[in-house]
Formats: sequence, C-alpha cells, structure tokens
Amino acid sequence: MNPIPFLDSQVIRALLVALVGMAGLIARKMGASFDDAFWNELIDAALLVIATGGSLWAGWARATKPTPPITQTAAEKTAERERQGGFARLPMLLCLLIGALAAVAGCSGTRDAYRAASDAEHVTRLEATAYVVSEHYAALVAEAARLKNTGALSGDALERVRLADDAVRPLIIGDASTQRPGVVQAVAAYRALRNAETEAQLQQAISAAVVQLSALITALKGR
Amino acid sequence: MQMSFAMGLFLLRNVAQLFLVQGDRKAADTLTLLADTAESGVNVDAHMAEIARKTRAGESIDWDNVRARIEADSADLHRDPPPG
Repeated sequence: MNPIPFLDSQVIRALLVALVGMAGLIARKMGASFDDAFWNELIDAALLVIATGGSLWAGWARATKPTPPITQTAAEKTAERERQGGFARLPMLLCLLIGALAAVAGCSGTRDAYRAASDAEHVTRLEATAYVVSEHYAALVAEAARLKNTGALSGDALERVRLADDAVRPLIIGDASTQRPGVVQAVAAYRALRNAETEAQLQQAISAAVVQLSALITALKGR
Repeated sequence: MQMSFAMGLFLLRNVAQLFLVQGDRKAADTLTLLADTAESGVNVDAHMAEIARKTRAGESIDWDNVRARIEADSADLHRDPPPG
C-alpha cells in the first residue's frame, strides 16, 4: 500500500485546523491582544471554537473515514499487519503471556500427582500410578466434554479428540464388547491376586494407556 | 484456580469481546480459544493437584467412581447437541 500525500488526510487537515486555534489561544495567553475588549473576547471565543471544532473533526474523520498510511513507515506497518491477518501485537503479546502462564499453572499439579504416586505407601506404587493415570484421563475427558458443550471444541477438532478418546477409553475402563481389560480391571485382578502375572498385566495396561493418553492431550492441545 | 489467573482469563475474554464488537471475529476467536485452552489446563491441573493430595493422604481409591465419571464424560463428549 502506497502512502498518500500529507494534506490528503482529513485527520491531518483537521488537526492543522485545531493547531491554528491552539496557536492563537497560546498567542493570546502570551499577551497578543486588541485594544478593544469586545474584540478580544470575540477572538478568544473564535479560537476556542476553531480548536474544539478541529479536534472533533479529527476524531470524526478517524472514526468514520478510511485511514490510508501517510508515511512510508506507516505503509510498511499496514502491509505487515495485513499479512498477519488483520490484528496485531496486543493479542500476540497476550497469547505469549497466557501461554507462559498456562505452561506454569497447567502442569505443576499433574507433575505432583505422578510424583505422589511414585511415593505412595498405603497402596502399591503400581496401583497409585494406575489411579493417577486414570484420573488424568478422567480430568481430560471431562474438560473435552465441557469444551464441546461450550462450543469451543467443534468440527474436525472435535472428531480428532473423539477418535483419541475412543483409543484411550478401552485402555482405561476396558471394552465390554471385546472383553478387553483396561487399567481398572487390571488393578482389580492385581489387588485380588498380587502375583507376578497380574503385576505384569497391570504394568502393560498402564503403559498402553499412557501412550494413548498423550495422543489425547496432543489432540486437545492441537485443536 | 488462582485468583490472578482467573482475573487474567476474565480480562482476556473481555478483550475478545471488544474485538468482536469491533468486528474482528478472527482476533476474538483466537483470544477466546486461548482463554478456553488456558482454563482447561488449569482445571485439569487443579483436579490433578487434588489427586496428589488424596494419594499422599492415603485416601482409599473409589474405582467405581472413577469409572462412572469416565463413562459419563466420555458419553457426553460423543453426544451431539440437539439440532437447532
């Protein structure tokens, strides 16, 4: 986009008019005056009207008229802004701030839960890990459902999340149609028998679930 | 959810509304998406912090409850909203 001549801008013209009024008022303040008081008051009033009218004109022109760039710098910035899709730095800055905030707030509790599982004493670490993985999935699917219900998750993104959920759910709560056990059933078997076989089955169930859980997280984040 | 974070989300959603009023739907949608994503992350993290507390406190695990919540929320996720 090429810059337009300086005085073709209505905003600039209006500001120049306002500037004339302001300059006159300043001159009056500095002592410029007529001998006749009537003319002094009339000139003061006229200068005030000019300054106010010019300011209002500038505001009106800025709000209602197209604002083509006046300088080459402004033209380049306008072109850059259009390349970005029409909105500029504030959302980008907010994006970075919120992203940084979410990065800090969004994972400390989750990390702590997995750490607590590894420190568990009242149940075996394996069962505690199964519990944390299952609750992590429960929290994610609850959020996914909430986002769908608020309309924030829809279309192709919703379908991707649903597919990822279909992959995780049987690994956590099992699949009745195929009789495939999930983490929940593996925990029950492990608690009942507590032998090497059930321990290995529970470990495998957790491992499989964790892989698909990360895919669900990716689908949710990538929406 | 921390108060400062809640306020940040509130401000972000208001800025999104301002963009919407100005007619810049793309900016409004982007900011709303950011707010939703951030809020989801915080909700999940708050839930997991509670799980960490329960695990450390030695509370018994109610697997039936875990399973019931997963079934209900997963079914909700797969349920399409009624037309119109």
